[in-house]
Amino acid sequence: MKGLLKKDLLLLWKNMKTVVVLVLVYAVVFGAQGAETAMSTMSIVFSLLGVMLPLYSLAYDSQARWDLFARALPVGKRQIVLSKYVLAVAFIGAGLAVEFAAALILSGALGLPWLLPQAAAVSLCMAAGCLLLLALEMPLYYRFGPEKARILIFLVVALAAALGGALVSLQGEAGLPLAALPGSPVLAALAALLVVLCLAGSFFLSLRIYCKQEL
Amino acid sequence: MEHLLKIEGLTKHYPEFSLQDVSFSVPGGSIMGFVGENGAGKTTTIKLILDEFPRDGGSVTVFGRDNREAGREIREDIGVVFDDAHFHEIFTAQEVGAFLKDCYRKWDAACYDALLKRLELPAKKRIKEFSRGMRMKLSIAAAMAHRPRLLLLDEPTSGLDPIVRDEVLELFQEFIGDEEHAVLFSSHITEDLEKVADYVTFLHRGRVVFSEPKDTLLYGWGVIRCGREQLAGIDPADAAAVRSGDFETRVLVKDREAAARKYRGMLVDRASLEEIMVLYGRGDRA
Repeated sequence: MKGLLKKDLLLLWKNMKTVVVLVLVYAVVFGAQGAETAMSTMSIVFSLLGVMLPLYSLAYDSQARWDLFARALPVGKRQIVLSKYVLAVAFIGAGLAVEFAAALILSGALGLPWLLPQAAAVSLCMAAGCLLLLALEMPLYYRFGPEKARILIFLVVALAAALGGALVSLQGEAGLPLAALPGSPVLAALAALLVVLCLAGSFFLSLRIYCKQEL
Repeated sequence: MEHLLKIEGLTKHYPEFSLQDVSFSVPGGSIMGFVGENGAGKTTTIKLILDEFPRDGGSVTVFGRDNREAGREIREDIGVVFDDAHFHEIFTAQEVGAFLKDCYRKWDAACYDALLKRLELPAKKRIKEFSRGMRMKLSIAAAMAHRPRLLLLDEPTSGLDPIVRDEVLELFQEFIGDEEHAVLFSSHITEDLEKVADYVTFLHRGRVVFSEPKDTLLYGWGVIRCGREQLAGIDPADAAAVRSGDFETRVLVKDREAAARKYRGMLVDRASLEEIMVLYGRGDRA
């Protein structure tokens, strides 16, 4: 898998170097508004990159018909599909690591109040959301291809946002303490388990779709 | 002599096409020419050898092992060249080598660099700027740099000029220098196969029509050229295929010398591979 990951990282860097630099500049600009904003922005940026980049790599692969050659490599279809998930999780994980490191440095070196709990709450929620989105979109990309999948994902995200908004409105009326939920360790653990199960299910579904394709 | 590739009764069904009972084998130290019309099933056969999708019947044995059981290990020793270089155009040849070296255990970076030099490929130029011939040469370099034992070539010389084709054919001939190596060479360019192939397998509409040593085909088989009236005098048992045109009738025979003795007065020529393909493909089978 090392060769496949190297190929994807090199490909994404060459194709998207400008976008990545711009996004990081954007993050720094927002970061000028404060340490917490900077850290949250970095976390959002890395999480979104984690979601976008594997999909861009799938689109580039499709353009080059790379899979015709990749399937002849001694890596196996499982590794071909897994490498995309690993790439995404690595980016999202890198974002978390950067944010936590920044929280430690800013808290310690600059004598700011201890920022880690806030950083962790925002980052983990963002990362979980992005991982769930990744779990949804990867099988759609494998099944329908990049163009059609983007439309489907947009519709699903819009629907999810609408449902989320409706839920927030309802909770106010019903008096449900949804705002307190993120602080619950049990629910956090259940959410983490849900994310892992969704990712695993997504991977096996993507693999099944990929194995059935005859190029 | 060990057969590096052995295919027996290979079958794959699609709604509008079937690969039926394909059998042939490639001995070590040889080049097997694999010919057939467009849509005959050559690329499907190559993909089934690589176990890219399941077969419906038959067996594929590579280096003495079933290709389904030992797929990944087998592919360490197989080099594949398709009809185009399926690398992202933004890469350079050097970058292709940089990530392929982590895909193969036996990748030889020095060998890759030497092949790039020999084939006169610039290491730092983007593939986007390569000509068709350069892209094919890059594919060949990438296929050979991990020191494979078996090369599967799917139309590797199509679209190449004669000079580049000659260069590439020379590489393949050097590759089979010993009995540890073999090549399956699928091509429409029958002249290339006549130059380098040791054996030829002809696939027509998903079935193997023949799998013979090349010399048997070129020196043993023949074509009787006669008029329509003379066709009646030819024993149907002697005719492998017949094609009648406006000006002459051609009859493919598998024993040119015997035919020349039997049908005195008729012109019996050697058959080229192209002629054999056309007669089988467009003629009437006897």
